[in-house]
Amino acid sequence: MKTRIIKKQLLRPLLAAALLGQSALCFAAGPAPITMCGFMLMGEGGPEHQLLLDYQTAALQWGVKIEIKSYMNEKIVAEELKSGVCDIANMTSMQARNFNKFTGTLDAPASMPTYEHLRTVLQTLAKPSAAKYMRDGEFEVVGVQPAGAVYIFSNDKNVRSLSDLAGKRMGVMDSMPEMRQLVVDMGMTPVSSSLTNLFQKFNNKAIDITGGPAVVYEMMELHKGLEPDGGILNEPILQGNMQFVARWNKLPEGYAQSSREHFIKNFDQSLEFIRTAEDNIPKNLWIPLQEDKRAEYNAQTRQLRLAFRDSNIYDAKMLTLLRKIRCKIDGTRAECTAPDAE
Amino acid sequence: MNTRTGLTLSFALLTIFLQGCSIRDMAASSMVSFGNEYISPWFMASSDTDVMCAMGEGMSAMTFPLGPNIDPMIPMLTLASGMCADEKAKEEELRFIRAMRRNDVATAQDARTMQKRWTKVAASRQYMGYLATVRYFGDPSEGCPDFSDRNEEMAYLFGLFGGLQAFQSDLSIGGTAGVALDTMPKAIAGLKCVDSDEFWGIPNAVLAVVDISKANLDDDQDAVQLGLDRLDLASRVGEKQGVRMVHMIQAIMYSSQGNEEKTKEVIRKHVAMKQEYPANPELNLIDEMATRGIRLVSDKLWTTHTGQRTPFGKLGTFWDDQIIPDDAMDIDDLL
Repeated sequence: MKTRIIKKQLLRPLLAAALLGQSALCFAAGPAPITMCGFMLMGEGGPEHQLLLDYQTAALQWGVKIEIKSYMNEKIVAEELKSGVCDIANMTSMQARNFNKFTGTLDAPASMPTYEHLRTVLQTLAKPSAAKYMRDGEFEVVGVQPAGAVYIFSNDKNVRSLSDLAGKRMGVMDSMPEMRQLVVDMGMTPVSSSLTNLFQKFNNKAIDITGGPAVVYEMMELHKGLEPDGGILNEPILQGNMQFVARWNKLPEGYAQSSREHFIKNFDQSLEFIRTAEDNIPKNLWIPLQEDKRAEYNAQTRQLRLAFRDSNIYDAKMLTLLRKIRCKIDGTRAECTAPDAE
Repeated sequence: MNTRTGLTLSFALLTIFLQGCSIRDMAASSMVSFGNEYISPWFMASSDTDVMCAMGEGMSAMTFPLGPNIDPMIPMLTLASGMCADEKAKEEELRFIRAMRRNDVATAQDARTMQKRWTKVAASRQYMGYLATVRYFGDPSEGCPDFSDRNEEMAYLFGLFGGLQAFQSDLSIGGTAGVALDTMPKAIAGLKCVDSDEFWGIPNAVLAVVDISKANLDDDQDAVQLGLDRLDLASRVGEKQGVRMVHMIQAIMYSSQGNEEKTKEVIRKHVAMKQEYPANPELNLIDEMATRGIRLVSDKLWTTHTGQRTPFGKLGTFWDDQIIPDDAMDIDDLL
């Protein structure tokens, strides 16, 4: 009898633990399903899709099961995210500005002159202390991925500063109206172009100037447009980047932070391909910015940033952050002591 | 050693060296002509794509060291060996999909790693074929080569096709295989030199896919439709010749666009057509390669939706096919 009672007493907690364990297994919530509007220029199987597959795998670790829907038009991606077709999406900084002006200012002209600047900025943004700036309304930026510096390709090697661009014809994408205004403000003639004929127009000499990351040099055979006297201004006009924007209330606690850290962890890997493309451009095509024109270039690009800030496109706080990081890396810059610093 | 002995020795060494060179060149040339006359026809008529795969890998060590004269033969071999590696990459992709379905992160990440490794091998092999093509025929962007015969034209087509595959494969792994980024525009330029009607519509189909992709990026629906019409035309050329490689190109295109319905439609069409009209007996292999490629697309679809690949003998059918037709008789009407 005693033995039975002891057995019962021992079995009860074991049984309870087993039941608890089982119910925990039964009721443990699986990863939260979420749909992603994936912007991929080259479609499924292309490089952007591959990146999203890696992200999808990582997200599973953070408790989210992402289903990727592919899109080739990032404007539609932004619209779909807004309308609730999906709860997470990737897009360029320009589109991301519609969801978060702070991070949407990361493509401000000449705000990050080197990849070291970019790394410092992105590391700062990925720290938990920056999380409060990542959220705006119902959306949160859960990652920024570097997409490579954008350079000015010119069919005239004498373009050595921004003022030399005046009077030149520059291709402007119809989907970027603010770019058109910028080109006009800089004294250039905008030539309406599309994503696919922009570089063709440069190669056919229909335009004198175009902007692009180094990868387009080989991929679009820009040597044809650069011949015989052209070159590439060796000063990034902006740092292209892709941003991952999500509806934060659809994500589990801690997801956003893990996600932002994921992109920082892969920073060098993201840039490897881009750096190789930059190294593959013949050295003689790079036009160094003349040292005596550097101050002028810095002042001109600063004016552009301020103009965008005043027209409410760029965020003043981000411009300040970018200026402070520029000054941290090089304290001798004129802007570091200017009374009207950004 | 006196001067005379030295000269004699030098002459002997030079002779051996020259002979060595010529032996290698002669072997390469003989291999190419033997290949054109015997290997290629047998090969093309075979329907065993696994043999092709093994041959592409196995013959590398025997042929590649034979120097520049073997270059016209390399694209065919690398097309085959590239296909083997690509299939291994795709196998890992299926493993990745299955792991993701059961939320198994470690296996999914491991499968991604293996997929990338095999994709890099595929890209390197495909690129090797392209580089051999450029060495032998010249830079494709600098004009069309003069083909001495149909075999040369086919080698050129295979080499350029491999170049495009290499470009895509390498881009998907962040350029780690080192494929030059101008491979794509150059290969596209070169494809215009190949008589599309002679080669089962493949060149025009690839060019149409490129134009469709561009038109999609610009959201130019008229241009998209024009491209689709051209693709359809190219497909009919291959269908008439009993070599339905364009079906594979279509399936891959629709799959990359995420258009499941159109992908299924092409797969169904391919299978139905194969049942109705046998492949050109002299070109079984190319038609079988197309079927193999289509099966990979089908396997990915099936695995995504069900966790398993296309069931045996069920290529052309899908998990959600309507089993009972709408017009099947109702038992209540009968009893």
